[in-house]
Amino acid sequence: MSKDREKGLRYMKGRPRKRVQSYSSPSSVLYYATSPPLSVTKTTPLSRLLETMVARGFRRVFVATASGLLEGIVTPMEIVKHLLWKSRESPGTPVMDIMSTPVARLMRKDVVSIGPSESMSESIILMKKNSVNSLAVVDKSNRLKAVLTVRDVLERFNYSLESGFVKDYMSKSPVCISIDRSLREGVETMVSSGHRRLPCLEKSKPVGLFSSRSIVRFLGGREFFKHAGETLGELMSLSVVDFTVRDPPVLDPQVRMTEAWEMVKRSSYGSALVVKSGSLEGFLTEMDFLKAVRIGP
Amino acid sequence: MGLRFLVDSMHGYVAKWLRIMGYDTLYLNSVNDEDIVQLALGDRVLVTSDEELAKIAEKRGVEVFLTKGLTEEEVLRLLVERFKLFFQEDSLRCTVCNGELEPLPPEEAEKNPEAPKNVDLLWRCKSCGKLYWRGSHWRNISRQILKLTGSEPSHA
Ligand SMILES: [Zn+2]
Repeated sequence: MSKDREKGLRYMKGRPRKRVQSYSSPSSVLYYATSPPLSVTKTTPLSRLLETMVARGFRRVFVATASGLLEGIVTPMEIVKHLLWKSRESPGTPVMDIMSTPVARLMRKDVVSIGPSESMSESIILMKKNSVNSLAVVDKSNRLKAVLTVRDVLERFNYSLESGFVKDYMSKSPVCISIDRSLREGVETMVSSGHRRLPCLEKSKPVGLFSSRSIVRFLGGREFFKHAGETLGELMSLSVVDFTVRDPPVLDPQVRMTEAWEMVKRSSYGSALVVKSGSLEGFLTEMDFLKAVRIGP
Repeated sequence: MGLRFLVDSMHGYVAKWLRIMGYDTLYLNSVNDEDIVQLALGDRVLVTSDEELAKIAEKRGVEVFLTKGLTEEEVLRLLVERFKLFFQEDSLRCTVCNGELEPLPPEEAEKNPEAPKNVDLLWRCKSCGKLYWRGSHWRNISRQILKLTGSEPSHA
């Protein structure tokens, strides 16, 4: 315990996949949620947060007090925004300086949460209504118990998908980014459009995915040390190409949603480019699959 | 760097026309006030109908154009007047994604199944690949630009 506290992190050893099933019914949120969820405290520095997110593959980390009360959430989007704001405010700041930023300055406080005994259909409605891909499961005194993600819903909950096609659920004119833009322009586009992932094109051909997550992976990875001597301004003028993943799933618009999910499920991206004869027709994310989930018997 | 804009989600029409005229314009979609201010800080004019937000942004040093009570047409006309906007023929932008348009070489246009035949000039968005050409809607664009700026676009 003391060792964990030193690291500023509180989680079980290994991937926190233990399920609290003893007293939860198969229709309640807690049955499908992951418990205990990963959390950090407000004083955890960005460097530690990055390690956790990158090495362990977390898309979100909750912020809680030492006694487990929920205070906020950090996703790659918050980290990326901070990078952009900082680079504006003082472009001459050495990139290493931001690594000591405490979580308190990154987190957002408006966490969408749900009670442990609420129903799964309630959780789906909440996610859709707030356009969030996860819910904090909290007890009556706002103590963080578990996390329920859109993936948990899609992978584990016994649901059925509507029989529609990809073309009916995808976003048709998605906001995109060209591979030759700067990181700064890419992030601006991400933040203003409210999309943390943008299809990335090169000479009008879809080539990959530019996402807040790929930027975070860069910041927490080995590649970053090559840029350790640079300033924030220099970092932000790198090209989008350096932050683009080249192998996202690609779907045909005529594929059925059920089939599409089988493909997207196997990838770690949770979204797919919809492409027809070489050109981008649309973009499909986990949230679009959630729209296709049939609620009820 | 030229003038750049940040337009709130109430003004899709204004955003579209600023892009047609060639101005780098971000269009806001479910973004909170703090992020809007941060996005605008330094180099973007914020176009919004939200008085509260306008006040906060101005206090932080953002140049704001408040549109309260104005129609979309009026907003656009007043923006043109105040910032001396003009049709930037050599830097057109995609109305969907704000990407830069590039002229499409004739040989590529021929290969592209979506490209219309018999048009002399074609552009393609570098960011999303959407094609643009001077079709029937060009006359409307041309007329609108004339109305707004007092001079007609020559070709582009
Ligand atoms: Zn475009």
